[in-house]
Amino acid sequence: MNAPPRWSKVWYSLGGVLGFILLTATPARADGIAFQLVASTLTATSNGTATFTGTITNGSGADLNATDFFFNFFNYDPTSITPNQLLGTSTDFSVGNGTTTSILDLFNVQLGTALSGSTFPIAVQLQDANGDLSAIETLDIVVSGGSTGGGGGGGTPIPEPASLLLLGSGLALVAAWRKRFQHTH
Amino acid sequence: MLGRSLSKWMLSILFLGALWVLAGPILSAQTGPAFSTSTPLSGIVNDKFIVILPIENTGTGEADNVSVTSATFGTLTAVEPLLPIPLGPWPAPSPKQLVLQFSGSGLVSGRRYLLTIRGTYNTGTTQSGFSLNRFIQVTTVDSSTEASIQRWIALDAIRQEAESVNGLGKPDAANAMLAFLQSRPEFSSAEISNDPNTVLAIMSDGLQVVVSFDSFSLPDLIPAGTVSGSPSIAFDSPKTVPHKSSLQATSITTGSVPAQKTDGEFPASPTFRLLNVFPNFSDGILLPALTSWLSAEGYTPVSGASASVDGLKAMNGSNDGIFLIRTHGKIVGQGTANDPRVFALWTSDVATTGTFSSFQSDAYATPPLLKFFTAEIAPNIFETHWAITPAFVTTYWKPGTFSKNSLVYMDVCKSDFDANWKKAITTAGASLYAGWTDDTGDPFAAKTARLVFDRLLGANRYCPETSPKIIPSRCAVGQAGSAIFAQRPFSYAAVSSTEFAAHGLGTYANVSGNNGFTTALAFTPPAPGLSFGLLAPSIMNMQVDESIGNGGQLTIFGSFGTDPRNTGTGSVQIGGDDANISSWDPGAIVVNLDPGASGDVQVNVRGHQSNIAQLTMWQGQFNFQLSGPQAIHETTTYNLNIRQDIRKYRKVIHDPPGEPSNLFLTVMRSSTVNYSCGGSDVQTPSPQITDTDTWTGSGTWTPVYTKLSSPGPYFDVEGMLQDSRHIQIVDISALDVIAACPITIVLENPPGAPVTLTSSGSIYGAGIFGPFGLNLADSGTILPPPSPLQFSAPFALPIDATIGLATLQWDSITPTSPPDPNSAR
Repeated sequence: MNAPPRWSKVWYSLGGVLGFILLTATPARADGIAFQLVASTLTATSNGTATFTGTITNGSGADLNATDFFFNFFNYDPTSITPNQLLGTSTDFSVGNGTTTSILDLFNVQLGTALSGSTFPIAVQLQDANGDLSAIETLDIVVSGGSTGGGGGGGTPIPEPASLLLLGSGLALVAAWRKRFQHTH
Repeated sequence: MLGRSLSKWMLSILFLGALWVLAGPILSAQTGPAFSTSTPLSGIVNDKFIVILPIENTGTGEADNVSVTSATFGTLTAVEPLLPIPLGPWPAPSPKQLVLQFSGSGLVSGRRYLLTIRGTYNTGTTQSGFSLNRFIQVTTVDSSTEASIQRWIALDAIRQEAESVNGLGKPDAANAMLAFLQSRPEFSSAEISNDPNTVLAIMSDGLQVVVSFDSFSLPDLIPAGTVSGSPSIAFDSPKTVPHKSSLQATSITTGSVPAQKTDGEFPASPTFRLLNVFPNFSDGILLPALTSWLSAEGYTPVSGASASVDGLKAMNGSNDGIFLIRTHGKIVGQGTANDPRVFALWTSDVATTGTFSSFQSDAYATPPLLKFFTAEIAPNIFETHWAITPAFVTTYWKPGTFSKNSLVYMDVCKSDFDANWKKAITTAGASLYAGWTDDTGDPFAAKTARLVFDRLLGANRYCPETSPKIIPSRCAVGQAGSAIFAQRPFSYAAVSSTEFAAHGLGTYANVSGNNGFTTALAFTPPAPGLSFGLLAPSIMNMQVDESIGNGGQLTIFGSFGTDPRNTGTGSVQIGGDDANISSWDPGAIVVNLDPGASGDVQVNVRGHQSNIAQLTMWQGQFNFQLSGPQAIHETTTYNLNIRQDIRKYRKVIHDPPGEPSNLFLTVMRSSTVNYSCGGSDVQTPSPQITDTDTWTGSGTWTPVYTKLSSPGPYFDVEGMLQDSRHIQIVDISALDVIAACPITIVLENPPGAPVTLTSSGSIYGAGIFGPFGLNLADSGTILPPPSPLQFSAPFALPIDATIGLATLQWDSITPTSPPDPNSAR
């Protein structure tokens, strides 16, 4: 038997460490519940409304209803924007443990009178009835010109940083497999 | 090969996955306040829908000036309390609780409505908004839940009423509160306590509520001025040089160190716990400063210290060496047999439904271990917290909570008032207890605490001494320099008796502004067997006796506590080297000096370092030239090594340092004398007789430390340190000059028939010269004489008895380790 090349040892060692990290790491507050927005930056006109849509993931360990989820907002300009929870206000429905909802209207942000081009950040955290907290996300509402907006959640969805990372990982993996396939065949 | 490649790719995936897991929280990290709600207590009571809503700052920073600006439940707006609701500062993590009342009409039982709380808060100068949501189901409640809801409604009513009447001032606010409480059905009784600014109410279920109208502002009231009494800079005036015999009588020997007044001990434990329940409402930089000072002196903070109820319970058996808490405190009760005066100390725990679940058994205990306590957390913003009582201390703080010789400093209103409270604290092990006889507040209280700790530690970071004793209107930061000098550590008794009055702190009295209001920080002395004194070793002065042992002995006077060496943590360093300790008493340490030892002297007790004192040493040449009749002469070089503590030092706190005086002084064993005698004297008493006297000899002498009574190959120097600028050499004896330098006498009678004799007789006095003085510059350098000193030298040659002339001179002699003008005295 030949000894494996030295680089393989490095890979195995690195893999062991990372595997351990992956198996044991507990992302703070992100395991229980989470929300994923279609876009983390939306535009709205002055005195308009930007509606954030997305999904809810219930990893709390128990089945919950939509009215068991609460959005909390902070770190925003209270003179210019007003956030409102939409989730659960019109209909209630079950969100089973371990499931992710379809894309829903989660909350909106009403803009006051604001200059075009202004950006208003707001920190958002999802909470459930059991006290679980999601990670805090900071969103932006950009004031657009033209007619008053409202409702549509306009703007192009901008992927979340973590989603970008996952996407990049997948692309890299596909590219690597393609390369290997070409070498082999 | 394929398997290995697959493994590689799997590991790649693992790597990227781990990166994703780790990156998520980092990418989404947010600093600053963040808020969330907890499960509320709610229900319809008396046609109103009541929500008792705990809210937590779960973020990483404090929110200031928090205010709730709107509260809606479905389409309803809260009818009580009036909006906005000021919540004041909000540290993280900590809870607050809202008691919200909505009209019950139109609500459908069993249905969930969205509660939305909006408000604002400040971080620095930036105002931000928050908006919290929670669906709550409308329910009817049973009698137990209703009673619980009524409790929180009543407590919130007290908060609102306190904020409403606080502007009336003291004691009208308390009287208005009393009337309010007596009108409420939730309370079975209410009374103004012995303190006219405090109300005690008993709820119908027996729970006690303390309502305090306090003041956080207690400025300096003693104006700048001069303390009566004349300043005294020098406490020992230089005296005339005593006779030699008396000098020897005052020399220091091992085992005969004069008894010193002792200042007491240091805490047996090096841990300290400093708690401030409202850092932003009070002096927020006091505790960081004290932490820095204590840490620099070898004390270590208790990790996880907290002024919460659970944090205080956790102190049991923790063996704290130093404990300080800054919070509200009040005495309630009329002082009768059935209504004793009892101290209550505010904790950091807000009274919420959550904390009630945890603490209700302590609150319902008889006597209660915990009480509700409503007081200000910011100007005109009241909040109800849990307060601990003497019964709490007795129950939860067993002996060993405070270490032997510990310091417990309650920077709390009326903390010196309740004997049972103080007894409970001392039973838990406290040695020295410091508390305020009446109300107190910042900046006065914080300044007093700074002064106390600064002086106990000798930190010299605050309120430098001045001369004459001018009271500064505000104690400045920093230390005094020469010629007042920084101050060494002193005992609490000295601080209390002198420093408070000297700096206008510690005792507050204002007849005009507060109807004779007087308060003082009082120290309750340690019980027998305990002896807290100060927080660091303190060197007052030092004396060297070169005559003892192989290298002399140094006695260090000051405050050092009981010999700590059985625990292996007491030492003296001289010039950076550990010294050989001969004896250790609380007031004096005797060390055997290594030959040549000098430099910075510092005492270490369990990691606490004393102030530094310099053992100054000079190594100089003194050139002695004796001229006798004709060519007779003696040339001698005195290589004299001298060391002594010549610093001015402080005997009494606050007084400027005085001169060292009348310290016996001699030379080190390394000193030598090199002599050489020579020359001849030819006399012709008659034409037939010629007498030629020739003086010869040379050698080296070493010092001795007893009065010379017979000649020998040694010499003796006796002197005195008169003050920091003057050394008086009483005399230098070298009797062996006779034997060492024989005289050869050649008689020729008649000429050409010489007869040679060797004389054993004296030709030169007694081999003693002096006295003479050595003047020191500010730098400690021994200055050369303006001109050579001259001494008469009686010669007694067989034929030519005459008076010779001796001269003595020296150059500047620079010392090693001169006194440091920045060192604490």
